[in-house]
Amino acid sequence: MEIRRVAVVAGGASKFGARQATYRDLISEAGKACYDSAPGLSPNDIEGFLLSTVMPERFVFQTHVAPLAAETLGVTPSKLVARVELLCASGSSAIRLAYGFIASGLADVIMVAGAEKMYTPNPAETVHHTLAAGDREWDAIHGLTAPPSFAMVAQRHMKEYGTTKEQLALVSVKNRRNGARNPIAQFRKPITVEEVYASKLVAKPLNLFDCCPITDGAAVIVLAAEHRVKDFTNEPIWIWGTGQAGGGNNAANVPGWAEWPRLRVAAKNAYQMAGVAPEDIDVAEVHDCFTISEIIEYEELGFCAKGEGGKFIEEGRSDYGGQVVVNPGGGLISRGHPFGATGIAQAIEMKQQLHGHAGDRQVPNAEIALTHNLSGFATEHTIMIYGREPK
Amino acid sequence: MSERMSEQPYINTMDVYPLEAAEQNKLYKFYDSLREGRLTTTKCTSCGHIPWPPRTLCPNCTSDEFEWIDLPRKARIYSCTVQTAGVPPVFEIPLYMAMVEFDNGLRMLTRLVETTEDDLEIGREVELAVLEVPGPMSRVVHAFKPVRGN
Ligand SMILES: [Zn+2]
Repeated sequence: MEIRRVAVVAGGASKFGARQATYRDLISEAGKACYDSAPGLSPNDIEGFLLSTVMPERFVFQTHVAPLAAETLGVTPSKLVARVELLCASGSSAIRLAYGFIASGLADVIMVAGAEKMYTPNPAETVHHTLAAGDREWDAIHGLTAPPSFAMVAQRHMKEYGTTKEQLALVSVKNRRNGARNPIAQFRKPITVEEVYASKLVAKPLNLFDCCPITDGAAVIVLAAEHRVKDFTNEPIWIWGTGQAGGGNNAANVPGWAEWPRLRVAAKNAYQMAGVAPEDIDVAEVHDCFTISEIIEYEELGFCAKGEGGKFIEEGRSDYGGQVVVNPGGGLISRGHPFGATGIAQAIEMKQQLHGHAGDRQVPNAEIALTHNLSGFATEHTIMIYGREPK
Repeated sequence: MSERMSEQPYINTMDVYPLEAAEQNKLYKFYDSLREGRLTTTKCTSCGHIPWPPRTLCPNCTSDEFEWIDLPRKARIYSCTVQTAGVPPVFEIPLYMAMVEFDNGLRMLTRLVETTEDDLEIGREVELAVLEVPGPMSRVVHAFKPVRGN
């Protein structure tokens, strides 16, 4: 079967944060921004619709959400309609699936939306719902949510590689600085290492500012087959490669702690498909759900040697002027992390970066971009590699 | 709201703990043994694979026949933390948690009880503790506690 080339032709996001808006309001806002990004695009062009969302049954007591979102955006699907759920990596997974559907010829134009309304009037209710992400019968019974999970990952990385609390904090400082320049970001104020230390201790060694926040938000993109791209935009970004690997859900069966071998597999496959190496990547949006995550991702994505992630941030190699600019949009830590929308927002950031529309957070001459989205106990990893030109 | 609604019947999706009884759960023997102070898991009778958590389908040989075996009462901390903010509503801070490792190499996520920050050390020896689950049903949950000096 012939594999067709596929590009992202439109994209827009809602403002991320603690929003005075419903789930549907957020989807409408992101959809409007997406349509406005490509004036030639109308709802009638869209044949397929995927909604990336994690727990609307919990947060807003709503299921059958893909038709609800399509209807909200004026889309009447003729080739595909479904919801995609892979916890925090739902967004990139939906993009990967839409890519495969278009590349194989089953549809020409697919909208991929992501949305999560996480704030509830009682903050304790939101935290309770996040327990559903863990293995309910064997892990969540102990109260295990994301912060203690990644705190234990950090403890192992610090023990095995000598990673320091300051190196962790530097990730947050960089991403808050970047997010300050991103209009949709939840946090738009730079912070210092001292402020990270002074923020509330959440789960040793992670302070509040080592953690991404609870976020409401939505993001929408449109993918098209090569022969339709020019109908919508002169500024597409092309999918060069994608990779995905999983490792399970129960904490006891996690295939690595300080090591994330499944990320290595996903990255290897994506690099191979794109025909590029880690040193070719100009700009990356990676899954900094916690500061320790970004440090391990430098290593497993091949930006530096195993164990040297702490040094990589310390030496400014993931910052502007360094080897690869990581999380110019502020990452999850600053932009926020509305579960289902995050992977879509990463793609939108890359579309802006590769076409010089990222304002004062622009990475100069960026041509090749990578996004990384993870879920669970850092077991599932999804990578997308985008280029400014077709390949 | 009707009288009946306001009585707040049991809502399973707000319950952190699984249903443990034989009428509800094929792994009910795990909980029965735990009530007697024994920590157990399944062993595949076809290939001998010992998983954690216990399971009704062997991921190694796909057999669905298993027997119950006892796990050691003691383990060592592989990684640990104490959560001091943002714990789910039915839990209290400080919430001590660890991944523990048994001599046979099996690992298990568990909460730590009767613990202080001084006990949070990779390699620290811990032993089984059995807790009652508060609420209307008679249920138990496993935990570990630091082994104190001789
Ligand atoms: Zn077996």
